[in-house]
Amino acid sequence: MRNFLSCIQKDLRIIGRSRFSAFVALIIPLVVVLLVTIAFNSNKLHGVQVGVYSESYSPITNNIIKGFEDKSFTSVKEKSMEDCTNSVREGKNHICVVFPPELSSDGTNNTVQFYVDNSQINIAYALIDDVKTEISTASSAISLDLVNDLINRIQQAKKTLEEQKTSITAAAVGISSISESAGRAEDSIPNTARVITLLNDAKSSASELSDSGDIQAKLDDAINEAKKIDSSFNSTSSSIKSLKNESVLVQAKLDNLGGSLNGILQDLNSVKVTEAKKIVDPITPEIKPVVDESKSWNFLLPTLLVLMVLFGGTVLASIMASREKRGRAYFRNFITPTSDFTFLMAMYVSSLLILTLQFVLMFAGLTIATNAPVLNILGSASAILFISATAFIFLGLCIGHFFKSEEVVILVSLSAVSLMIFFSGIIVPIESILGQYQQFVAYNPVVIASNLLHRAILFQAPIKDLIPGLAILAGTVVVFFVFAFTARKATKRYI
Amino acid sequence: MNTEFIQLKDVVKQFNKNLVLDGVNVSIPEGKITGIIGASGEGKSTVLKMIIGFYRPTRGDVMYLKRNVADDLYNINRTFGFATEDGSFYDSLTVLENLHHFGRLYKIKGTALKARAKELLGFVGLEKAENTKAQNLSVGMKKRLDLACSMMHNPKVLIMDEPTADLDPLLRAQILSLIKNINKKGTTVILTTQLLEEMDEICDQIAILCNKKIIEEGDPGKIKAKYNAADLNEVFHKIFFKGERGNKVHRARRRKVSKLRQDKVVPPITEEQEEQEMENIKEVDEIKEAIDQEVHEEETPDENIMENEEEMA
Repeated sequence: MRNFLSCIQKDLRIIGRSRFSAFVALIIPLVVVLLVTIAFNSNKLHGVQVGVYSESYSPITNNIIKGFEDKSFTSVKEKSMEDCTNSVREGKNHICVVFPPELSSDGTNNTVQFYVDNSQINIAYALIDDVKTEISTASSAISLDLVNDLINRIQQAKKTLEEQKTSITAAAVGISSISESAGRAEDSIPNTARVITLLNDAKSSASELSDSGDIQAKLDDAINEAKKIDSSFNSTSSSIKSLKNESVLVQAKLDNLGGSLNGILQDLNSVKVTEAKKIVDPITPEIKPVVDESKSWNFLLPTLLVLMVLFGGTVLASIMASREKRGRAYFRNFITPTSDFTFLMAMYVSSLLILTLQFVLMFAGLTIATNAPVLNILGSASAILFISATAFIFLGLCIGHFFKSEEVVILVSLSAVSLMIFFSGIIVPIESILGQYQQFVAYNPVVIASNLLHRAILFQAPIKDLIPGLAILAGTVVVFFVFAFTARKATKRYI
Repeated sequence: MNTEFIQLKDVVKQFNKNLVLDGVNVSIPEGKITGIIGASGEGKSTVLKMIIGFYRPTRGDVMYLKRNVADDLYNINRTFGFATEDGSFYDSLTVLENLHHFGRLYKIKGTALKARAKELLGFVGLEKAENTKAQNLSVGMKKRLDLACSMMHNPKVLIMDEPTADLDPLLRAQILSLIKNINKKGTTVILTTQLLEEMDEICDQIAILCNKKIIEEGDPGKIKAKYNAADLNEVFHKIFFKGERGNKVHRARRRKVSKLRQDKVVPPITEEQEEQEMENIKEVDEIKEAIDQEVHEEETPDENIMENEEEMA
């Protein structure tokens, strides 16, 4: 145990006495924190150059371009579509947007074309999203105008219908009144048959009288006249009845029409959404992030931690192993009764202590610079960091022992680190890797550690939920340890 | 006295295609100072590192107390000490820290560790430099630090590879005195050096390594008598300086010695002495021819010697 501790003490002393090493170990974490918190202190894209081209710029097009500038994008009006697309190929602009001539709200030819460099995968999609947002805003404005017009027309129709409904009701009331008046007129027509009967009775009575010829003649005339009147009344009564019947029919039709209008009005009234914006965007997307995205470093923290563990562990351990192997003390270490296991574990613990110091400094820096609730995430995150650091340190020790010169060791360790980063989703989305390779990438310790830290830091996942991932990570630790130990044993340096 | 304390039996060592030792047989007695003589690149350091188990023989056996070293490495590491030519310690650590570190690797604890370190600092004369970083020590001090490191565990056998190389006469004398003192305490010492006067001065037994074999082994006086030589330098010349190969070795050796003289590491010689030396070389050619006929060895260019000559040139 004493020789083990002595090896650790020696490693730390050597690192501490090298000014450059001490600088790297102590200052670099703080510099990283500072740079990350300053550089990623917003959630926007910065310094984006947008090339735009249109045969003729309409007010809508100009509004969209102004929108780009409001987003801190620099828009450059290109002379031709070819210039615009070439500017993307040459890297002058990040994206080229080609607008149709006279982009207008009539919607006849409103196709907007995007030209992006797909090789810059990460930024390409982000750019398309950002630029599309501006186009969508303009598109929504056009839609809004169109629907507003439509709504206005419907409102106008509704108003007219309301007015017409009143008129029809008034007409129905008028007809009803006519019908009543006709009824009353019919009722008010005297019963002329009774008069004729009375006149006939009077004529019979008069015939019994002498010298009643003149009276009878007059009564006959009266009877005739009465019959004429009766006939006329009958005719009038018949007309009134007919009028009455017809007015009843018209009224029924008007009632029917009124009912229909009521139905239409009820239908119109049942339309609760009367705002054009709500019709244009019936489902308004409201994105609520699952993490606080006000500061990018917050959701970058898991990746940042993994990168620190990866670089710190792999590169530091590989250099330490290489220097030990190339150092003049290698021979004496070899001839002491101290096992390879002890030396290997001592180098591991030394590297781990240095990494721990880096993390303490980094977390302290984060707390001071951003008031980040670091203590809340330390629990499960530290377990993940410990296991992943162990894996990467043993990987570094394996590389350090396996290769002869320090230059090659640094080159190989950086290559290994780059490879793991490249196949981790940090640079290129894992989803863009072919399916058959994705299953291998899933076992990349960087991927596993990154996912676990995401869940632990951003979603506060309890440690028991992380156990499967931690078990895989522990498996990689065993594999890398075996490789490192074998490399140390198998590649003894012959002095 | 155990005369078969350490034995090399038919030891062959080959690094890839390069045959360095081809059937080396030698016995090293207990409690004595044994010197291994050989031209640069003959494989002296390889022999030493095989004794301590750092290299394993391609064929043959290296025995310590009749046990194979390869099978008893842990015990060998606890029993043997090794002072290297270039020093084997941490430059960034101080003298005391180096001693403490290697002492702990030898499982020496607490006060015993501190006491042993202090004792050795006094023994090698580095008390005043105990807090000096090893990288800031002079060449002689580094040699002494390395010697102290190799003795932290009080080894029964101390192996020293070129312990006086690159040292001025005063420092050489100090180191030789230290070696004698170490031996007086019962430690078996095995060493190599280019300066044969030293061998003459301190060794109880020498072994001459030539053409990948030990061709002479025993008391220096008897060997000198066998070659009718006044000192070991003369024996060396008579064995090695023959024909074109011998001339190359001689020229390389002359260049090295000349440089050492320029640096005042070894005392200058007069022109007469130099002429006499050249005369001796002519005689050596004849003697060497006779020896070669005896051993029926075919003379072949030695890659190692060529490489070393180029380096020295």
